[in-house]
Amino acid sequence: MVFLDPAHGGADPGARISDQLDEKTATLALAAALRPALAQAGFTVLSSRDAELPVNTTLPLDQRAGLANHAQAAACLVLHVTAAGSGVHLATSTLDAAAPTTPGLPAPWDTAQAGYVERSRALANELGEALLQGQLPVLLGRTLVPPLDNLTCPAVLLEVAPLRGADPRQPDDATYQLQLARAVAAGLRRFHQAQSGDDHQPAKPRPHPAAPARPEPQGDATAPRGATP
Amino acid sequence: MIPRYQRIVFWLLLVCITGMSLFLVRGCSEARKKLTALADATPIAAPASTTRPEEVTLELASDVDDSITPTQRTLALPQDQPLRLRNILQALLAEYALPTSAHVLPAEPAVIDVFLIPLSAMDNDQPQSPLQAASAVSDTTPLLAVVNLRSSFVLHHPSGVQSEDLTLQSIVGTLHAASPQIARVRFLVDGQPHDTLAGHISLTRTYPAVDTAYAPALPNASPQDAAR
Repeated sequence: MVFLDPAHGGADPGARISDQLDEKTATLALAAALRPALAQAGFTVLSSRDAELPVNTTLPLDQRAGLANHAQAAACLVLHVTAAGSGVHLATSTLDAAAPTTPGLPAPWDTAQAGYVERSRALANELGEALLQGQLPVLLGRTLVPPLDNLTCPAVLLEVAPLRGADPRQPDDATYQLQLARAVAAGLRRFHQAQSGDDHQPAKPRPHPAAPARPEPQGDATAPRGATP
Repeated sequence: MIPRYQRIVFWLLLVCITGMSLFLVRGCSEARKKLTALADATPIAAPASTTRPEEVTLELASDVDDSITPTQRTLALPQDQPLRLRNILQALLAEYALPTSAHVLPAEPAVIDVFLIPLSAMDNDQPQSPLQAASAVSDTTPLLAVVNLRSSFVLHHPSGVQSEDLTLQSIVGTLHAASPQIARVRFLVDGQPHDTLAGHISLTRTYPAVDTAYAPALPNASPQDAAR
């Protein structure tokens, strides 16, 4: 199962992406684009919100983390969209890696992610590779944004910025989102295979035609905050 | 023949005029004494805080490659430590207001104050007066730096995970470079706790003051941290 958390919503519009687009709407559209691609790759998808929240309400960050932790997802993606920068930013928690807590036993809320940091960085790395192979510029990093530190699953914050250069595209561009969704699905599939082995593949794996071959073993998981393709 | 009541009024007015004249003469005399005291030519003590050129390290962020690079600048800084740190942060944020900046931020004053508090005073259960806290500071006391930002700066800061993260890490890294005695950093906005910088990065946490400089690397590549 993959948990998607389209950030913001309701009374919290997030960043202003354009005159007509708030971040809360853009993250929801991004989640909608990711869902079919992930389902096609054989993943069950759970989302913290599938529609716009009622006016004057918000979905608290702790509640989002609680939903993800309760679902015991194999991977959690916190989705953000920004008008600044370029390409896709993948960020993991800044917490130092710690031994994973025993399932079923309570973990400190503020550092719940510590036991999953290594796997989160491995996930970010797989996603980064897949995005690079999908011709999308990637920056790897670490961030302090909540609720990343509260998640008890391999968790990556995925922030989508406009594409600049010869073929500029805004984050709400359908082609850009489709390209992104395919790369994310491919990265998640490779991460899942690396974590569980070939015997525990997703229910209905359907390799995407553009999916790259399995990459070489990863380097040091303690990757720095920033990375460029 | 002058009526009796008019003579009484005359003498009363005369007494009042005399009294007021005496009061005026005494006031002038007192004022002259004060002016004479102010005109004392004795040299006064030199101000405790003077500026002097100093080379400092600014941890400059770049949106282009998500990097933070240590950069040397020479600034005229006061000796008073909180003022010195405030001026360094102002210089850092002024760099981001330049048209050539790789991490563009609004061009306006951003930092109201920087306070330094001994961490031991924060951990101590017994409340300490500012005098006690100040007397407990030595050259090796780990300090908490409290950066008081202007609300106008926060209001106009670009919203986004990467942009906010870079700003915060840049400030934390610059404070660490300016004074290694600073162990932790907290943020206030107009003197009050504030949830986030611009909707993403939490300002309610206390951040460890570390070297935040780093260089980018490819996914799956060996780390190339610039400073760690």
